[in-house]
Amino acid sequence: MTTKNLIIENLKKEIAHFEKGASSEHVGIVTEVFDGIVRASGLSTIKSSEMVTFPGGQTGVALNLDESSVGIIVLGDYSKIKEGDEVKATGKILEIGVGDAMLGRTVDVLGNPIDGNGKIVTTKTYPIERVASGVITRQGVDQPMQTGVKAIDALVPIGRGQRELIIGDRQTGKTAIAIDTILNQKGQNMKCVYVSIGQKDSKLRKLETRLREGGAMDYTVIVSAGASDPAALAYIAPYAGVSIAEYFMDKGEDVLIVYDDLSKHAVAYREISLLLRRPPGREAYPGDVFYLHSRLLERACRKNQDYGGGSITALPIIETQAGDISAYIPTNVISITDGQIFLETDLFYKGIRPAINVGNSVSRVGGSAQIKGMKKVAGTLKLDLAQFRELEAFSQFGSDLDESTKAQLERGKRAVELLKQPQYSPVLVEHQIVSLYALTKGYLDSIPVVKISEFEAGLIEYAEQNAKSFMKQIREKKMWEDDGEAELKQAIEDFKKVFA
Amino acid sequence: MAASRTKELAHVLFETTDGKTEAEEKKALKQFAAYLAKKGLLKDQDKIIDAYRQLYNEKHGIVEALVTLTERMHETTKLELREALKKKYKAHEVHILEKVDQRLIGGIKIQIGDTVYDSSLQNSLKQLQAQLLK
Ligand SMILES: Nc1ncnc2c1ncn2[C@@H]1O[C@H](COP(=O)(O)OP(=O)(O)OP(=O)(O)O)[C@@H](O)[C@H]1O
Ligand SMILES: [Mg+2]
Repeated sequence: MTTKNLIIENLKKEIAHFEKGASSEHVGIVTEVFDGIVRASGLSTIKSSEMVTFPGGQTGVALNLDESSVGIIVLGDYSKIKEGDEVKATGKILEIGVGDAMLGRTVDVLGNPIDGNGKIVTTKTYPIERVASGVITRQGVDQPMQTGVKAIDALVPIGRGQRELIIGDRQTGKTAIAIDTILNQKGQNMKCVYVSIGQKDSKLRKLETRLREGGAMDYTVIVSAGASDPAALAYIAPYAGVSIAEYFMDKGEDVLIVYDDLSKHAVAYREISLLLRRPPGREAYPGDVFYLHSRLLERACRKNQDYGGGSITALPIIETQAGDISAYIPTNVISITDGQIFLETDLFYKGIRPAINVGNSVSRVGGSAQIKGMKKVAGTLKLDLAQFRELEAFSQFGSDLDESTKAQLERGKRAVELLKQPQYSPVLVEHQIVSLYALTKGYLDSIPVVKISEFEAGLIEYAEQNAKSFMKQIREKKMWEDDGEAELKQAIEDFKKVFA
Repeated sequence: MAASRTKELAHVLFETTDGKTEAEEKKALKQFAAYLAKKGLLKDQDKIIDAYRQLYNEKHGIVEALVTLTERMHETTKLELREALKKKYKAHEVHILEKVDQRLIGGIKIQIGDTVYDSSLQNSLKQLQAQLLK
């Protein structure tokens, strides 16, 4: 026998020694039990988000928190787990069943139906934590994601694959914008995932009914961790949601995901961390709270054609306290996203709804995705609004305004009025273009402010009948041509006569 | 496990055991096994050992040949084969592993690394069959 074989044989003996001891390597002992969370010793080789099992058959997920012990969130009935119980590592990352059968359904964070409409048969499983797709698989944002909200599509346009934050105090219409955007995806080849975190069941039911009535549940999945569920489930919810979104993206589809909201998500994580006595940092959040949201939002992207061409557009929502965007969680999420839509209580109560502060809201990448016709009218609109804001402040002091200043103020008032929009009534982009065209070309200057909304509705209907080639050009070529424009101008003038 | 990582580990095993005293070798093997266990690599032991075997052979100029025949080889044939392979591979040593397999029908098949020299009757018949079916 050669030395080589001897060495191999001896090595095998040493290895056999370890293999015998291996089963005790992946087992831990429960040392503390909290509300839905346990701490365990041992489990030294466990990975973050790895599934574990308890003697009673319950599943848990490891949060790889510190060196000597592991924090585990229990999914399911935790009342029977006690100190001294053995915890077994499974070696698998927590998974969720995914498939087309989820469309139209409301599920919990493990993909189980909670809408009382029977079983969901899924075809695949996806891990809830996944490294975001690499740079070579990605492509820049250049396709629009129409929200149907005029102020957004015109001034803060969002592209497919973008991450745009919706931020504002409580009751400022954050959820309304997200829901309207989902409603507007009908016929847009988009799948939607709405992740509801810590909302009351009654609120969620209402919202689900709204989506169903609008025909939006056909392409939507709702993932919910309710207000009365343990923090552990709220913590998992957005990751479960994006895994479902990834299933559709991997099939080459475009997906819109809404996280409503990440403030409650951060609070759930803080609660878990405090229970596990992790050292609290700023605002009592644990030090890695930034990573909590960055690893989530990184999973939104647009794949290039070689990788299927799918996309995930993310609309995370953050609730601020008294408009303070410099608080810890808002600053973090602002730094991760590609822009923000600011909603303000003041505007909301002034009746400017959606209460979007268009001056402060930005979209860093969506501009390149805006269709040409919209870009054309939006440019003038932006200018009109900016001048209006300046003059409005100024005009409160002096009463003697020259004619051109007065005219600019009047134009501005009509612009603000035109951007108002009731809930559940998204507007098609071609219709937005019609009314914004009329505004920016001065056709609305002679219409009383209070009649703007009525005029808008009538004009759109009239244009559909009498400016058919304009509409056709926008729909097909995304931009009007000279003959189409002439036709629209004529239609607007004619309609003004009818309207008066 | 990535192939490069397997090779790396095989290198470590080689460097820590080659030309060492028995005590040193024993200690190194213990540590190596403990390392594999800690990193959860015990399941990859076959791959690592394979890589090690290859590396060892390379370093020591050893060629391993798996020879398949329909009956045991004559000692003289074995000697001749060994000399021929030594020359061809400029090897220090040639280890011949013998295997008997009736399916060859006749002739000989020699495998070295991933190269196969097949002059078995089974192979000739297969080729003939392929020719005729064209
Ligand atoms: N564009 C709108 N026009 C009129 N009313 C609106 C509009 N948007 C929202 N609302 C109303 O304002 C209220 C708050 O809206 P919503 O629930 O969307 O706000 P929110 O910021 O998500 O609130 P919360 O902080 O409770 O989650 C609701 O009653 C809603 O119907
Ligand atoms: Mg809300």
